[in-house]
Amino acid sequence: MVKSASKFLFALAAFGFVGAVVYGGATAGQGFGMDAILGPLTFGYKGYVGDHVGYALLMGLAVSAGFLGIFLSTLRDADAEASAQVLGLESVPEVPAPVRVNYWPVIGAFSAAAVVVGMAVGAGMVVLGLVGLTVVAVEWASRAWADKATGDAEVNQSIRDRFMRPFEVPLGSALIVALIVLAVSRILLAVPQVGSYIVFGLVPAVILGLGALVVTRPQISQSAIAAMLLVAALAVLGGGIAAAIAGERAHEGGHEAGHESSLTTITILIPETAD
Amino acid sequence: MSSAALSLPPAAPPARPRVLLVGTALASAATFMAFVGLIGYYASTRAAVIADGTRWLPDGANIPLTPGNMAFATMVISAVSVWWAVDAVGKNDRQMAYLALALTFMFGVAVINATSFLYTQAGLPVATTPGALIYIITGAHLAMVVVGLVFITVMVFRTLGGEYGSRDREGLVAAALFWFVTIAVHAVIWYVIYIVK
Amino acid sequence: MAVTETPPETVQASAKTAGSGTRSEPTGLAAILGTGDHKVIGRLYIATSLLFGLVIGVLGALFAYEGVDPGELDFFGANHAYPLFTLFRLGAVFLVGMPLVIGLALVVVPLQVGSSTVAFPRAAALSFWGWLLGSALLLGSYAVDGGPGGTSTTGVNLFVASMILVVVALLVAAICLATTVIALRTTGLLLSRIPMYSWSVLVASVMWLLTLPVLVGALVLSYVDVRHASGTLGGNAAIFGRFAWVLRNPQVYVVAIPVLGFTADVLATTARARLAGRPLIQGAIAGAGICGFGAVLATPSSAGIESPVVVALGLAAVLPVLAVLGLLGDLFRRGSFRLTTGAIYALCASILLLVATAAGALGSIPDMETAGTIYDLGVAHLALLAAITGALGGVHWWATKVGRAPAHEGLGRVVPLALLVSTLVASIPDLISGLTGEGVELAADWTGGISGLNTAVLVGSVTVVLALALAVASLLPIRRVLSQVSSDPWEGQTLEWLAPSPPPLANFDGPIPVVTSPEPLVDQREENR
Repeated sequence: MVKSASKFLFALAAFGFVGAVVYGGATAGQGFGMDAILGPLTFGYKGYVGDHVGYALLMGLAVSAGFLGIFLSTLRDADAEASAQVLGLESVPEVPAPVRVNYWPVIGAFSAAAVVVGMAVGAGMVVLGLVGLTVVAVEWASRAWADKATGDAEVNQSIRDRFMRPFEVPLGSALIVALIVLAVSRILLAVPQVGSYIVFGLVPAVILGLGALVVTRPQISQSAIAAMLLVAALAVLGGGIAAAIAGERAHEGGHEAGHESSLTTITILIPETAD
Repeated sequence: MSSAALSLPPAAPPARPRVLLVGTALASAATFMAFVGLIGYYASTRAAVIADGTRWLPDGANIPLTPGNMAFATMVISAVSVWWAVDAVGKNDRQMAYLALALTFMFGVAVINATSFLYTQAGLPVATTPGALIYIITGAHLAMVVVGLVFITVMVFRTLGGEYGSRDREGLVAAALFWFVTIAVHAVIWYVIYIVK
Repeated sequence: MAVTETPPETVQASAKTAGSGTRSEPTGLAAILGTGDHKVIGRLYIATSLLFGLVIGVLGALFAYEGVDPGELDFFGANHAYPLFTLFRLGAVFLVGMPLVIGLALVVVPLQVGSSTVAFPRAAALSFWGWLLGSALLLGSYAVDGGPGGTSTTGVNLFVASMILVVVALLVAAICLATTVIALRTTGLLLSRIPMYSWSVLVASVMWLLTLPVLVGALVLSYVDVRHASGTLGGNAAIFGRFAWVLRNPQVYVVAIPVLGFTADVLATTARARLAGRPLIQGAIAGAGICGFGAVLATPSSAGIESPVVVALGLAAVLPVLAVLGLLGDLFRRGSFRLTTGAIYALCASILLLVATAAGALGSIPDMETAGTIYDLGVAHLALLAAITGALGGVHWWATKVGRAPAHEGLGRVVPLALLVSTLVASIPDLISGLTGEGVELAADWTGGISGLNTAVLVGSVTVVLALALAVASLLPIRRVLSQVSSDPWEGQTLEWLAPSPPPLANFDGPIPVVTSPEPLVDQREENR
């Protein structure tokens, strides 16, 4: 039986198909005739199709909405009763609310942001972001698996830890060191010579100081640590952009001017609709 | 946390079915629409260039048919292997499932390899209209293949972990669903870019 | 691997000893960063989008100020006017309208369908953080002279890349919402019985999922073009044109579709009557979704805009809105209506949407020749502010679920009326200017509209910003901690009012009874009588 969601999707698919035929024929500018109908029906093999983009999108809508409609029909709109029948149970199991905190989404978002910054400023940040996304994918998958290992959340956590920690600790440490080296090296290349001396002295001192603070004050709140990490992550992103905008200083010949490539001429394109 | 602890906890409650499947279907449909827009733009631009009486591909550039055909044939075969994996898990035949999933993974890598080879043979500069469009569309599809492979890998990991079996194979079905859409997108690209040229 | 080799059902269910020592969960910032609670994620979306809303509103008011006398006033300067105008247009949709609607839906939809969580809660969290960082980078790209028409290559690349992140993040949230409505409903809650708000969110989410990926494709195209292909596909100058279809009707209507569902739910509750003609209302909301398929204009052309399909979409978009409001009118006849703040918000948002779609229908008539003029801007503003008004109304109506306490009723009654009047004052002059052929929608400099009427636009724009600020002020009390808050302050009909106020992590205190009608709480009250 076709149910509510499927009905909506089939209506959408029907609109897409009829719309594609009408739109493809009408925008061809050849008048109403057999070619104007045949063209859209044969994907342009015979006859004419006008605006290919709108036609393709309407046809695509017909296909994808039709696919979703059929798919949901086979699942009976994923009604709770239908889902319970799949499991042979009286009632469908509830999806539990996530009790524990999980930082992988926010780390994933920062990794995606690093990719975005890298797409603008250079490959280094893209690689960094992709590494971050890979780590997030692995950690996310392992956690999803471990969460369903048993019915006890604590045991699940310990299973995950036993499985993942031998990889996480050494690889994580190496990654963090690499990240700091990469980020600081970019800064050192971008700032003037005197600034590089200051950064070279300051960054290790800050890291040492923060490390000492965390170690000597174990009662420091997790929020404070989270805030520090947040600031550090934002600094990496912001520093990447700033360094790229400023450009590398010239290292040879004593000339240390920043530079930036710029677009020399910009012509604003007013769409055809403005005519 | 001793070994006794591992043997004592209660069994995990069954997961609610259909959730991952529905989410994957929606994501697949959305991805499909992104490609439809790009392919529509490609077809539109190509039609405009040809209507002007200009040759579509620049001089010296060519899209060889053989690597494109090989990539598409490999994709089609991978449809069989991925469903073979789903079927095998449904029968609790894990060894067969791992074999089928490994084959699917290998087919995916082969598609990436064939397309990369095609790039080297095409001699198509990216700073041309057809070059930019073809690299964008086929490159985006390679990205989709990589996402599909990651999805399959994650599901292999979870199958290895005992999460999926004859009672529940939803994760694998979802990965297969996404893979089928990847193949469908490839079919459109194969026809529009490689065959029609 | 010991556990993995043992099927879970064979493990003895006993002995809680293993997990006796529970770990303490963090609080404060650490808890927010790691949250998977749909209510927290929704709140974050709402708060951040309102903050962006004030910034974008001020920017719009500044443009309106310059529009009073564009020849004399040059607030932004020739080089910055166009990029900042694109920020205003894009920000209104992607930093304010969509995230505000999504934020409210993330809080309310799981409660309405009787679920303890949103589908893929971690993905929902990823969506918020991705959207937030993408938005920050987007603003950063403008700061370094990027954005469409910007002069910094790096900035333009950053703009395109960050827009991809913003749109993809919002699409992830749409997947979570649609999946929640489809696959996480409680027993007995068939789709034909779900609250109209949830149905409208499903329709809007599906429409976003089947249209906005086209924009992602176009952005990828722009990125490769600008970064690697030397602008062979149009380069920097072509970027903003690829957004045009998302910012105008019919696509912009999709953001406002939840207004219809919100209005239906609120009016039924305030009238203390069951909705009649539910299939028709659901069909009309679905029809409104179909009429919002604006991707057909992904590369706008005169032939496309004047094609029967686009004209029909534009003309038909007003019909579902009229149909829903007409069917809801029956409630006034059958029920005993109370004038609550939620109802005022719902009515004002519906009126704005009705005016938007009616103006869109008028502008769709090819002989009117409004395409590409400032007329489209007026329609877009009406639709977006309808969506924003509806979402603000939703936050007010569901205040004890979104926050911890009711919102300020007195201020709340003023805000929707102020938003309604100011939006009409700000938008109708643009419609008139467009009808008379004055003003270009995507002007390189701010030259739009009839200068005399632009004074009204300025007044309206400033009032909109003030109304938004007032709305934020009226919502601040929801953060209060009260000893006792009613779980059902409005005599609600649907499941969200079964949850305590504020709802706990798992939303409901106990199992939800099997749903047998679209108004389970009305059934419960009738049984208890």
